[in-house]
Amino acid sequence: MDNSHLHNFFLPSLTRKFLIRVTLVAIVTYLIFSYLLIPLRIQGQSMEPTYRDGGFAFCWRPMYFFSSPKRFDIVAVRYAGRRVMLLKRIIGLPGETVEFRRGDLYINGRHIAEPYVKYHSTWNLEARRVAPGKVYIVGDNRGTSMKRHRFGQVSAKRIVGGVI
Amino acid sequence: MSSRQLIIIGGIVLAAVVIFLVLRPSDEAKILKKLNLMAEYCTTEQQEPAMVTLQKVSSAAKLCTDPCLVKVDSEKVDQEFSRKEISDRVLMLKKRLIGTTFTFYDTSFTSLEGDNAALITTLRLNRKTVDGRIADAYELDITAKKIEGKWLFSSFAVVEFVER
Repeated sequence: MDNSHLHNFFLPSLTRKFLIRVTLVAIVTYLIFSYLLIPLRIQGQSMEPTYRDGGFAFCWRPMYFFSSPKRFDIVAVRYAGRRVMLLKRIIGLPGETVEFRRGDLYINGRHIAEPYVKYHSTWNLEARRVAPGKVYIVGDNRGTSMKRHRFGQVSAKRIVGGVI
Repeated sequence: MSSRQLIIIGGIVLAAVVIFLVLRPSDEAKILKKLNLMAEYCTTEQQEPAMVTLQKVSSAAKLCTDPCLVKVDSEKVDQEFSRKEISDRVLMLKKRLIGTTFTFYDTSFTSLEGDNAALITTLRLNRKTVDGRIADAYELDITAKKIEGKWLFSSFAVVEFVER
């Protein structure tokens, strides 16, 4: 690359064409990162070790445009808006019963292996049915007491997208 | 005074009125400002002097109607509190949450008619500890009333959308 190319790359002349190109790139970037691929800064330990406190991830909104959430998907669930969201894993689908026996997950009475859980718990939770239109979410970090861990069923409408 | 001077003065007065009408804070802006003040008063610095804490507690209570309804289903709280009771509760909260920052995100108005407003928001609590970070969030339904020209919060309800 000769000097003129380098000069043009780092110090481009402000032509009309260049300004239009920069504006278009800025608009497209804004739309992508605001509405399709939302950057997430992770705060909290409830998804450790899969997602660590202080880590970074993206919420891919189109993930559920044409399909329903599946078991073991990691999803972002909104509060009042999209600036603060819960990051959790789906373990139960509508109509299923969810139960924990000494930390082991049982769906419809059958034991389900959870290879992503590294901090095993002794949680005991009586069987409960997931209501229609809802999914059962829980964090991967079961090392905390059940009382302090926020988990349960939420409306599927609150799911903003899948986490990648 | 010549007619030309009168026209200039009239123009200036008209411009001042227009600027005042355009720039005066809307009801929404006034309520949002009060919400941010509430967050500031509830936030407790690590080494906050007792006098500052007491001032903040008193100021937080003055942002609420007397009485003010508080609803937290998980704590079985659904009752009206006087300003005195609110300041006592806020003081207890601040003592328990030293070093915790309160911030409101994604605030939107669900209704704003006359002297009544309803809004939904996400309250984010953030606290740095020696072991890491404690982060929590709550969705809140808040109502506000305009009393003698001042917007005051008349109710706070935690929206518990995660159901075990």
